[in-house]
Amino acid sequence: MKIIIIDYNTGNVKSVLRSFLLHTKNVSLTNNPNDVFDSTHIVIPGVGSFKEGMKNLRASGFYDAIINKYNNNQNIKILGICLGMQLLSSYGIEGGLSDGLNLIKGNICKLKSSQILKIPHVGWNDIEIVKNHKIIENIQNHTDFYFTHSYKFEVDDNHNVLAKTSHSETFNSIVANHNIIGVQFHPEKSADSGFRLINNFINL
Amino acid sequence: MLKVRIIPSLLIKNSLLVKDKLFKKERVIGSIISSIKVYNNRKVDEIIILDTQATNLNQDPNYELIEQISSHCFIPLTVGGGINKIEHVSNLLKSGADKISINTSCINNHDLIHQIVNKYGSQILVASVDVKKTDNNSYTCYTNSGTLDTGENVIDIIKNLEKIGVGEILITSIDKDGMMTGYDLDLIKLVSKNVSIPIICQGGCGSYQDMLDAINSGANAICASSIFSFTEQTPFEAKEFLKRNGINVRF
Repeated sequence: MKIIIIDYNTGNVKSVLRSFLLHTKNVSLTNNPNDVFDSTHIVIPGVGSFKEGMKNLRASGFYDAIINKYNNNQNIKILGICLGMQLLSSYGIEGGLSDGLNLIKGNICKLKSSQILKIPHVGWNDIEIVKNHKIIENIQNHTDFYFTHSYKFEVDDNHNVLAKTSHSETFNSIVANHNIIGVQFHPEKSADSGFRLINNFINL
Repeated sequence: MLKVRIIPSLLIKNSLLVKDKLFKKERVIGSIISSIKVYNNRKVDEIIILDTQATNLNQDPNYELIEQISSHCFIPLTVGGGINKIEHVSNLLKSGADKISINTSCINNHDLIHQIVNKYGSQILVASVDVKKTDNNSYTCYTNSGTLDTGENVIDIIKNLEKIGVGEILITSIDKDGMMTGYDLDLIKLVSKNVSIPIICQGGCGSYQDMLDAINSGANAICASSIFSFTEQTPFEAKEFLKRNGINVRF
């Protein structure tokens, strides 16, 4: 097993690494796209805007490396966290229209806002599981996770939705296309419930 | 449904560097680390660490300390104090911070705020706004750990910060700080009425009822320090109290 957390110059990669290290030694943080080649699990973390994220993903060489890896091995396990989840989509509009990795068909658009239900959606909110998958094994329906985001993932095919969450509107909090998984929340900052999800990903 | 957050704030005081020189660093850090460990295990929703001296002494953030703190923290960690350039932000994130809290530069360095928002997004940035009540019942904003009166009205400042794109506002009443006589509810109402981003309130919390009053006045998250340090009251019991009173919290 070789788990890599890709460091493409966005956000809290350290927290992600630490949460994985609690479960396995076979994990490393890398800024070298060559590490994608023989990896079994790829974690795409990230905070920031969609366009900036894609720009960094391309400039660092990870975009090509991940696409090549997927084309050669569709069984590769990928976990996108927050912005990393959104980059799995076909395209996003934050910061200007930009293509995504297109590994889960759909697009990224802004959450609605109201005076009572504010945006960014920040804090602990629960997930409503709509479809079973190994990534959510042993995770109870309505478990709380930590979110911080203003955009949502709209999928083309509802079969790709594993869980939804309600705020100013209901949005997809976990999406999956076989072993390509995206979570809108931060499992690395969601204490015990996050650890369970990370452990499930390692054991996919 | 989104839960109301209970957030202890830990102040890193002036003495840290001095104690380092007197070879007492480990003891000081030890108490911060043990607080973090306790909070991490007690269903606290987030932790805010504020260095109250870094800006005034023109020091860089203490990355080494944040690195140690964050290695014990598996809930969101917000770090503030002394942040006045983009490198501070990227280094803090590399040290394990999840969000950044900025006070002085939020008022006098909007270029920096733009840079942070463009690079890391709104979600990363908590604008820390310290205010005092004036004689005519309005509020003005202070910078440099409450030592410098900007003369600027709180409403103008927070509306502008929202427009620039900060993710949340940590509003602190200097008049109430450490008094444990309740939050300034008029201030919370005023702020939450004027912006549509999440509000974290700080200053004055002495009881669970104070938290409930703040939430009912519009706070989206409760930040408190003295109540958890100097009394027997705990974040967990606070949540039980809030839940009994109809507030959604995380257990």
